[in-house]
Amino acid sequence: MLRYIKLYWHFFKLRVQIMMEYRLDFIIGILSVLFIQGAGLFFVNIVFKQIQTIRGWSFDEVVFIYAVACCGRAIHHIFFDSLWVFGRDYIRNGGFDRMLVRPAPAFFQLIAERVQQDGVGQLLIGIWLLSYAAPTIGVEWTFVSMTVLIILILSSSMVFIGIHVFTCSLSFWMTDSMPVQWSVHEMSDFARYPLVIYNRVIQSLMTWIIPYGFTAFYPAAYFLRPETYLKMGWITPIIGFGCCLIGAYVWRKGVRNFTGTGS
Amino acid sequence: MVKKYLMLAKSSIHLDIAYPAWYWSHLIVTFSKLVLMVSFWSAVFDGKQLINGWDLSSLITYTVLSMLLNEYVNGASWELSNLIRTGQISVELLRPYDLHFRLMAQDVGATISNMMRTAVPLVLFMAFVYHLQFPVTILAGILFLWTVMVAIVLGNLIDLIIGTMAFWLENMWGLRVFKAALFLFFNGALIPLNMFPDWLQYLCMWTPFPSLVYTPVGIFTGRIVGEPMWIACFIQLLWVVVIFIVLRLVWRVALRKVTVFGG
Amino acid sequence: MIDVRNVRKVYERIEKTPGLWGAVKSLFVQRRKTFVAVEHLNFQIQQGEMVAYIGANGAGKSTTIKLLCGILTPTEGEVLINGIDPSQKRIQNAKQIGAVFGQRTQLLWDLPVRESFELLKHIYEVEASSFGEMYDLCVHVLQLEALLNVPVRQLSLGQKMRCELAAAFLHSPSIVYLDEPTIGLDVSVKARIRTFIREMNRVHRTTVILTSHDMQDIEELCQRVILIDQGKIMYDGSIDQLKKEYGQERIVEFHMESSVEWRQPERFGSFVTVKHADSEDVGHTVSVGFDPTIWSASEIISEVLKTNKVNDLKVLEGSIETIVRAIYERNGGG
Repeated sequence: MLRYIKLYWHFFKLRVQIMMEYRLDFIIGILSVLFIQGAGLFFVNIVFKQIQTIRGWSFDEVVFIYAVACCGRAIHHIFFDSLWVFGRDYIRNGGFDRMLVRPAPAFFQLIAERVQQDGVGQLLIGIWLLSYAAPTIGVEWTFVSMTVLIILILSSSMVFIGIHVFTCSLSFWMTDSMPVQWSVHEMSDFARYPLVIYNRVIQSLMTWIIPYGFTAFYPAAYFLRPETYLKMGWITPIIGFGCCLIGAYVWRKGVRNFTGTGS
Repeated sequence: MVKKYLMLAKSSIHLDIAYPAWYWSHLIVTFSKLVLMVSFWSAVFDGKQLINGWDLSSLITYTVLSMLLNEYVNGASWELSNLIRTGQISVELLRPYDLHFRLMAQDVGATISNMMRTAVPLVLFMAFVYHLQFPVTILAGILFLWTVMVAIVLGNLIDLIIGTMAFWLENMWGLRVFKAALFLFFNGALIPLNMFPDWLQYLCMWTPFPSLVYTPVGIFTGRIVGEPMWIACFIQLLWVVVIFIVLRLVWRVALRKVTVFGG
Repeated sequence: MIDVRNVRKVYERIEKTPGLWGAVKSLFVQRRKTFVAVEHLNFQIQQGEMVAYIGANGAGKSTTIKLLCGILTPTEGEVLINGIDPSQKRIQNAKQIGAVFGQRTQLLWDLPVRESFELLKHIYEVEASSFGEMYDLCVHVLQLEALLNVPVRQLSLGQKMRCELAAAFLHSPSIVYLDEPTIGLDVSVKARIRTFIREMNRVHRTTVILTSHDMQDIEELCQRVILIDQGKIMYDGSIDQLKKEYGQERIVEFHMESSVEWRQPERFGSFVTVKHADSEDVGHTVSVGFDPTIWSASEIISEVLKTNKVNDLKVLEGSIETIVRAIYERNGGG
């Protein structure tokens, strides 16, 4: 374990060096993410100029949900970005072969090879939004509740990661699963608003089929409406673990399919 | 002369059809975004009759049309930047056609093909489920079609300027993301521009972005009528000319860089 | 030591039916087709041997290499690399092997070469002292001093390949797989790379498995050749023996005007093979194949020139392809 932390650190240092090679790109990347998140918030802000609540949820509460989503997806965005190009850059042109002749787990190498700086901007916005929204929603921020918040945010990113590893692993069978990854990932936008604004079909889809609901709405609602969403908050870490387990299972199956083991 | 570009446009229609996985994922993503926004606005209205002069039905019509149109006001920046990055550009410059017109012809071809296969079915489906409105007058309908065509050309020209930046930037991802966010926000695809605060509306007026989406869809939904309608059409054409000149200027500076540094 | 016993690898492919209807159908019914990549593979390679593994494209070369690396698992049979089954203990096996796979790079595109080497040290957990020794040797023999601080993207093909080779040897692997390490390189770089491989083999007793289309690579480096065709080993033995058995035919090509008639020298009799071909740019081409133990090329040429008016001529060397073809023909088309 320690070996892999050290090794990751070496990869990481090189990534930072590469980023500094392309300083202009680095700045544009960060700015663009800041701008996108800012625009999304501004949109919500404009809408809330016209109304007080949306299905009973206030502006500050929506911002809080938004903030949880931002933090959760930022962690996924920063550290798991290479999943996107796995099919194109590793399966299609044989880059995956190279990983298999090196003495480290292929998944570790894949993850270590990229760090996406754009996600840093997202994480900063998320933290800033949390610090704005958290004091306004009437929760007492003790050590315990802070810890719970951090655990729920980590669970949120685990949902993102697990689902993405699942769709990414499909590349083992279909060469490049990027279209699938993309269409599934875009569904996560639903989770940025209170799920109650959607009809039943979408709500259950986002809860039980593609559980992006647990990336933002349920963890946030655990604090905002504990009377209704206590259970959903508690099962968030379980869903996060479950997603990662399923993702890992499909990945392993994919590798076995690739190397021709079993089947 | 024109026939050459027509053939190129046709060839990219075939190319567009050749990737079914991307087609389906694009369809799914676009559809789910439409559902998300329609659900969002429905929840915002929640029994209210008018918000900022909009009723729910015309706002939904606006949202569906503007989000779809936003998908098509892009261009060939991806291909152009790839040509530049790989050095293929020097070969392209020797070919007997104008590179900008060639890229535009191809992109317009792909756009038309994709519109037929994605936007038209989606509009019909949404019209059936959510009872979209018809254009307010026959004239508005005709002008809508005209301004959509101009908007696609304008979007193409702006995108080519973005693509040209590959002469200076190594990694185009950030810039492209930034452009997408800028478009989405300022062209009125996310929210009708007349809901913006006054200062922002004023700021937008000095950019080409409203011409891309807000002008056509505003005309369709009867937000822009009478004299301002004709002015908006004129401004749109003016932007085409201005952006075209800017593109050629930027291009010339960039090419000087190629001849100096040898690509 | 590499020990391959009765290995067989079968791929299963899903057959794609073209068109939209085919795509819809394939959602429900998938037609699978099996395809034998290699079978009855049996060979042992001792530590320190340098072996050429040759065959036409698609003959099963890269499948075999992948089986040895642990990238593929054999359908039947057993592969042991120094007693380790690479498909079962891939990571353990990876520590003792190095590989250069044609154009797939080990190096980090945007960074100086030095950084890639440094990273490899950590990936392979090499001790600083032994790494330093190997590093110095590689840099010295491959003449990399001037390249170490250059970003990989600025290197020429030959420079990059020299760095790739160093990257494959840096962790002192006991076995190195080299897939076309000299393809597309100029003569001096090829010579440099061969010197390096020989040096590594001499100093560290590194086992080298080489696939190459370059006959000279093989002749200069390898004592032993394994030849594979259509997934089966057709020959395993010394290179001299291979040439004696299969590669003895040499060819001289004569280019003539299309209007001129070929007059066969009487001395040729039936001891040489003569083939005719016409093409627009060189006119009429006559290829005379002969056994170099009986004839010399100069004899053939002077005989032909006595009776024919020739514009140009070319003496062809025996290449891997001609040997492969000869074996293929002798075995009655596999």
